Amino acid sequence: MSRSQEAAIGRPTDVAVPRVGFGRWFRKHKLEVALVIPLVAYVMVLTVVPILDTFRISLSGRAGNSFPSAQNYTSIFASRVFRTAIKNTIIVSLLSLSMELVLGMIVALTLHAKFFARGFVRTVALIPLGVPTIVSGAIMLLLFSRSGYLNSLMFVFVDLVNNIPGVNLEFQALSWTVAGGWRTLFTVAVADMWKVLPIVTLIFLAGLQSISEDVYEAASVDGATKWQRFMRITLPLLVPFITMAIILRAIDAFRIYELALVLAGRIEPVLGTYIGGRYLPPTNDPFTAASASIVLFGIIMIFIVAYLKFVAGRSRSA
Amino acid sequence: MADIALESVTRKFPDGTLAVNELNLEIAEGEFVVLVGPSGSGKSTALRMIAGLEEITSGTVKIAGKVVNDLPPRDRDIAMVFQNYALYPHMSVADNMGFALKLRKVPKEDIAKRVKDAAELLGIEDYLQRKPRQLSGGQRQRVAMGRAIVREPAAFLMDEPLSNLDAKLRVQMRTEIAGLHQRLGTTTVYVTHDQVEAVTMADRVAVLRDGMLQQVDTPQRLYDYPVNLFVAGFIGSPAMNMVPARVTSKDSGAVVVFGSHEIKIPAKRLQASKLEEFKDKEVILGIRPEDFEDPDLIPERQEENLLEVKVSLSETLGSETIIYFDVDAPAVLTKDTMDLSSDASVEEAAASEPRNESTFTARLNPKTKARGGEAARLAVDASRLYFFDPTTGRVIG
Ligand SMILES: Nc1ncnc2c1ncn2[C@@H]1O[C@H](COP(=O)(O)OP(=O)(O)O)[C@@H](O)[C@H]1O
Ligand SMILES: [Mg+2]
Repeated sequence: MSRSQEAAIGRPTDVAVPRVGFGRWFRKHKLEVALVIPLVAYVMVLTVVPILDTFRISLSGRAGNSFPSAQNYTSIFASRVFRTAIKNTIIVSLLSLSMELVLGMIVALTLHAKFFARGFVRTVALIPLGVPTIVSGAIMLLLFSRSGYLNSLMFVFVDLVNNIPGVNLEFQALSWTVAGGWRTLFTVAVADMWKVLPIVTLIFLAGLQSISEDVYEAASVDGATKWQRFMRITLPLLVPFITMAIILRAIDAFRIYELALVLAGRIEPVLGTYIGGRYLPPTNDPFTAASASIVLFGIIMIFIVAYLKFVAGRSRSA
Repeated sequence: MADIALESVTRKFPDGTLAVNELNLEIAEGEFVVLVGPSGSGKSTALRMIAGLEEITSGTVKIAGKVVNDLPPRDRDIAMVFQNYALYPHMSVADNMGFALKLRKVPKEDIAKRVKDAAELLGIEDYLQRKPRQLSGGQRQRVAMGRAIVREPAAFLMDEPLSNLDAKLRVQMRTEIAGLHQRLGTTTVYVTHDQVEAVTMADRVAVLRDGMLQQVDTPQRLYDYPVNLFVAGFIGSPAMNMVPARVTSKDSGAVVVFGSHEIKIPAKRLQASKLEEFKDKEVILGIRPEDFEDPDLIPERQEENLLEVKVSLSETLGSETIIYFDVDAPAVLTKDTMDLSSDASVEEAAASEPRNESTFTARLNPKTKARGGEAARLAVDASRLYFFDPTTGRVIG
């Protein structure tokens, strides 16, 4: 927060309250208080209280457990499945996030250029947003199944490469989603990317449109090539938008659930599916589910704080 | 430093707009040329074609004798100052100014030195570490100038660089830019819609209208010898008075008659021009406001060419007094005069019933006793009358 903002927010309470007392202050600001109450109530009831309650549950246990106890945490960290889930979540999140950013930038730059029927193409590019997550998972199954497009593509590629004398590649058709390991995680990341690419693209497109054309013109008169204009003008000016995309998307990516459930099932757990598995029948254990949720919450917070501190903060002061 | 030549340069936009039409203009090395014209006359388009930011539909642009039509802006060795400054928002003032040098891999110490020198020249050395958004409009303007100066380019191109400043700062920067040009001697093409800016700064002024060059000349010659109604009305402030009139013989000489007024044309003026051919035909008479004077305040007594008028309004400016009076002759409503007026009132007047009245302006010695609402006598300097052909708008001379 800038100093002027702090001052603007801080002044009415700092100065007015001590001198006139709460009653007078309240009477003076009746309308403001009335207007703020619904928002405060909303945030309390739907965000803060559930989080605190989850935290409470994570420290409780079935009858006999003394409160507070860290037993739920020790038990999940002892579980190999949980540790795999953390590792997988981080891999899938970083993979999909980086693919989204790179592809989103490329698509945004393309859509930003002037071309025939640009408006139409921009609309078409939004289609994945309207597809329910479960359905997009199903679409990805088509892509990655044993008889799916990816395998066909791989065959074409291998045939092509094998035309080169001395090269003799073998490719076995496989079902990517059930192959396990990086292949399965990759399909989850691609599915996630496909679904949210339009959002990332839209954020970048808004950013590109916020840069005035004459700044580019000034740069080209100053001697910048296209590439230099992108690296030294576009990219630095897009930092706030990239930050926004990363934060929005990182939160979503870490709590990925439906796609992982449809594509990876129990083969490769992520935190979302792990928590679901603990909570739902047959396990029916809200306590370890709660502690895993708190761990997920912690990971997201650490990521955001670290990003703001090291990446966004540095580029702003540079 | 370099000379710039435009040869039959044309720009036709894809939508059919002919923004610049067969423009021929030669700008000598070290010259300060101003492109002036009303909004939409193609000034920016012409400048952007020199910069390489706008495609050239036909014709050639040469910088330092070399055809640059197909060169990208960065290979033309020109610096440009934009109307909205176009500073790089994420860079400090120093980085803004040093950007071009950095791209050219000039050593860091050299960049720092050149930036510092330019900043001192412009009085912005205290803001070098600030971001553009932390600067006032005037300071941003200086940074934009600095960014151009640091590069020591072959030519400066400036597109209405002062139009976003307040009136006082505009006058100040006008002087500063002119001073900078005197010091650096860099070839400069400067675009403005403000004729005062044009005539005060330029070595030569090129007047554009609808993408066509009307006249190029020194400010004084443009003022004294406008080639047509448009240039005559555009250059000079307050603008030249224009009225339909008729030249007829009277006694042994000739007079020009408009409304109930009559001015004797000096014999010399008549012989030296084609005015003879327009005898008893309609012409458009032009009188500059400064060619009226209060007859009591001129050194030698003037007996003839005195107009009896009723002053409708007088403005005392201290150094001069401007008076407005009505003349019982219709206003000139040709395309030229309509192009000149920035507001819609002239077009409205053209569309409605023609009124047999037009308003004249006169610039008088401040000692004059002429006051609004009173009658006054005005002496006209008949040697400085302008005559225009009403069909072509061209000057008769
Ligand atoms: N990109 C463009 N596409 C179509 N017409 C344009 C474009 N840019 C400018 N014009 C038109 O060209 C004419 C000249 O514009 P411009 O050079 O900007 O005028 P000025 O700078 O003298 O105000 C105007 O009629 C304007 O509307
Ligand atoms: Mg312009």
